[in-house]
Amino acid sequence: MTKKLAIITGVLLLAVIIVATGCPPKNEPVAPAEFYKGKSIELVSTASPGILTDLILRIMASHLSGDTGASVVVTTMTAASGMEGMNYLYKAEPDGLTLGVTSSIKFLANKVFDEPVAEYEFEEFSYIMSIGRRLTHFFVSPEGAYQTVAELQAAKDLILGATSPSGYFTLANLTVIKILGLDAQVITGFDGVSAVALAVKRGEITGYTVEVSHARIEAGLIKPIFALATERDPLMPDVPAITELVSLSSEDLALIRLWETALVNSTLFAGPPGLPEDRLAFLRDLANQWTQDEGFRKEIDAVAGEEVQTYTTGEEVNSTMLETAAGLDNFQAIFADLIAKHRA
Amino acid sequence: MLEAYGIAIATLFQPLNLLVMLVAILIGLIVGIIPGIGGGTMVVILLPFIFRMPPEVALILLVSLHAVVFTSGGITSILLNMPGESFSAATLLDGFPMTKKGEGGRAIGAAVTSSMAGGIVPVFLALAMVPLVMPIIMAFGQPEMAMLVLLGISFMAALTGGSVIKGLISGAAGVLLSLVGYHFVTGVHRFSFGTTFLYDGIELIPLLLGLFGIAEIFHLVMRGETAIAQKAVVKLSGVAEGMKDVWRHKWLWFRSTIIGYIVGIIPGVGAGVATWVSYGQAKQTSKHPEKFGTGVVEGVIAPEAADNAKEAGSLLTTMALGIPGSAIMALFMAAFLMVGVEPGPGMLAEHLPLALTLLLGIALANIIGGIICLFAAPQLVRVASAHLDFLFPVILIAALIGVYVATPSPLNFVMILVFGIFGLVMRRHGYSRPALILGFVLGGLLENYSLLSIKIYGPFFLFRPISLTLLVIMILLLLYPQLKRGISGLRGRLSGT
Repeated sequence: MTKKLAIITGVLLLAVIIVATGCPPKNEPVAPAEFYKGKSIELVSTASPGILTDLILRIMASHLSGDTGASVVVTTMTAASGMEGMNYLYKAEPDGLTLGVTSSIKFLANKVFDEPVAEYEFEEFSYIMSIGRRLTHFFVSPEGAYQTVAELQAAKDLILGATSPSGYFTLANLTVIKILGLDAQVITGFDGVSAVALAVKRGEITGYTVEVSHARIEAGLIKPIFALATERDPLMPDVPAITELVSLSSEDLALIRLWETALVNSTLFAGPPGLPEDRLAFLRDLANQWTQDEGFRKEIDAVAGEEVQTYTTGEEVNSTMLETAAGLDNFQAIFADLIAKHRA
Repeated sequence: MLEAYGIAIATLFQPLNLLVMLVAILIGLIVGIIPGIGGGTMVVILLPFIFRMPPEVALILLVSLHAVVFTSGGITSILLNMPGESFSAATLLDGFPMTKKGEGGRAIGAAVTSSMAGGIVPVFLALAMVPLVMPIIMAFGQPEMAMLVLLGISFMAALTGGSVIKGLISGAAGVLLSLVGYHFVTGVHRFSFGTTFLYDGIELIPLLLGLFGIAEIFHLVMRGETAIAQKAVVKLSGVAEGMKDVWRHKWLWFRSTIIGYIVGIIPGVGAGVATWVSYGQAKQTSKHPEKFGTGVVEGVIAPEAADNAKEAGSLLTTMALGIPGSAIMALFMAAFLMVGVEPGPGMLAEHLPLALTLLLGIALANIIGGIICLFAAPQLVRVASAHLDFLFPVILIAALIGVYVATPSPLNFVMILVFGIFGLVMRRHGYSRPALILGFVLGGLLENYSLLSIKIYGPFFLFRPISLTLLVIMILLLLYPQLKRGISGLRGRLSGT
């Protein structure tokens, strides 16, 4: 009897010890810092390998792994211009173990063009941070016939180049055509930004609207005429903002502001919609710490090829996206009109 | 300049740099052999690690790895009918039949030597070519690109095999397959059925591996064969014979190298153009064009030389102008920036010793990689005589891994099987799989460049000096065998009278 009691007591004691040490109750909240330790985070890349967004993601992956104690697995989902990855992230379990890095311009352009494959709502993502603020500029050939806005406005049958008909470059070109009242058409299908720049240099097309590339400027391929912004780009202080060159209606000004905020090319770090508040706050804190870290900033500058001046917090990105979503119908209507004219 | 060369050589032969180069060469050779996994995949994996490396070490690592991927890439095409990387497809047309004839060692010897030399010679042309890069690029606008691609497609007739009609049907099928997906000139979704999987069109790697590798294995198994080649040459002498072949066909090798180099310099033409144009011109200018496709060594020498030479041209454009000519060169651009070197006109002025180190590094990596491949060839050839019961699962797994790494979507596993069955049917009924690949690779490019040309220059875009010249070259090359026969006949009649 005593032996039986001893065995039962022993088994019970063992069970209590196991429960107490190894199996915390299911509903007990776990601090995010503890939650990530030993777990695996899937980091979705929507950009092709080697593209700036993808390189920034790989730097983040290394810091994320070091700071959370989790192993970070990068999954590349570039199909459909990255929409595959964005859809995947949007539908992922919001447990903080699936995160993603994408280029900001992809989000909105797809929605403006009402891409049927884009199955996400950009304002619903849980934004963690944004890196970079690469303003959009209008470029022509340094030896081309048109070197000023006035010359462009006086010209007929201009051709602006872009890669995809439903992409950021096309939207940017259409914005320039609208604001300057150009007699121009947008030709799409060029195989990358370099191909558009070379076509400009050859004189096959007049110009294009895209973010700054110092390499192409220094190679003498292109020359910036103005920034599609209300202020000069600190990285290109000699190039005027479009607002310095022409007077704008309130609608046009709203469009320009869109190019400075939601459509500005930056790298977004985000989670799926509905990420638990504490984990989102933890990740945002981590991201804020990275921005203070000299080593992290140097690595980002190295892949960007220039000093990246802007790090935006997740909260700020969230509010920008919500603001943009509120005005999206209006912008969609403006762009729909431009697209219809362009297609006609 | 001499001082810069001295610094470059001294840098290259530092023990650490040599060690890094050797490791990179071994990785590159293995990556090149595995079907579907190109050098780009490895460069992506290595990019995050180069941050803390000195620039010369980081860049020697990457260029050495990339330089030899093309040297070993042809081996899988030759032995298993599976392209080691997507641009080795032209090599299998004659390389694999040579293996089946028991000449695998000779084919590898020729492929490796041709590729190695094709990768070395352009390096020494590089600095002399710098002033010409920009004029060449400027001369090739959309119409010229369209004509260059058309020149490649025109060789479809050379790939038709037995029946011209069946060959053209195959080529047309390839063009049709290339039309799937979102069209970036018109903005129309074509046969993508609202899916992200087909949005960018059909992927080349599953198509290649299914159509050739898997279909070939199906065919051999259904015929009850036990091995790809019953007798496989396992002596170095066979390999040496292949090396001598390159010397025997030195002018063909030279032409192919130049074609590859020029195509590599021009961004956006597409690497496929270089290998197919080289193969086509080799056949059209051959004394025995009818034997191409049955296992002639010229069919191996030409695409291999062009394949490696185009990378040297592409790297030159990237370094000298900061314009990446291909996806992998975009990765190199990123790598340059990551180690604090900005590619562009300033690079050769500000970092001349580094640029020379990289160019000489490519040459040295090609030599070392080539020698390793040549010595390993007799052992590698044994694969062809391995029992299919063993080889089939290995090839299947390698193909699936390759497809998944290149295009990480499970649906591509279905694609590889579908194209495997499709390839088997084509093979059985005498339809030309190479013509289909040519149509697929170049069809989309031709459509894009033609549409852009029409939009920019109007319907008469052909009437530009270089376009017309390319058109004349294309016609002459297509008629070359007939012209040659006609001239010989005329000479014979004249000498008889």
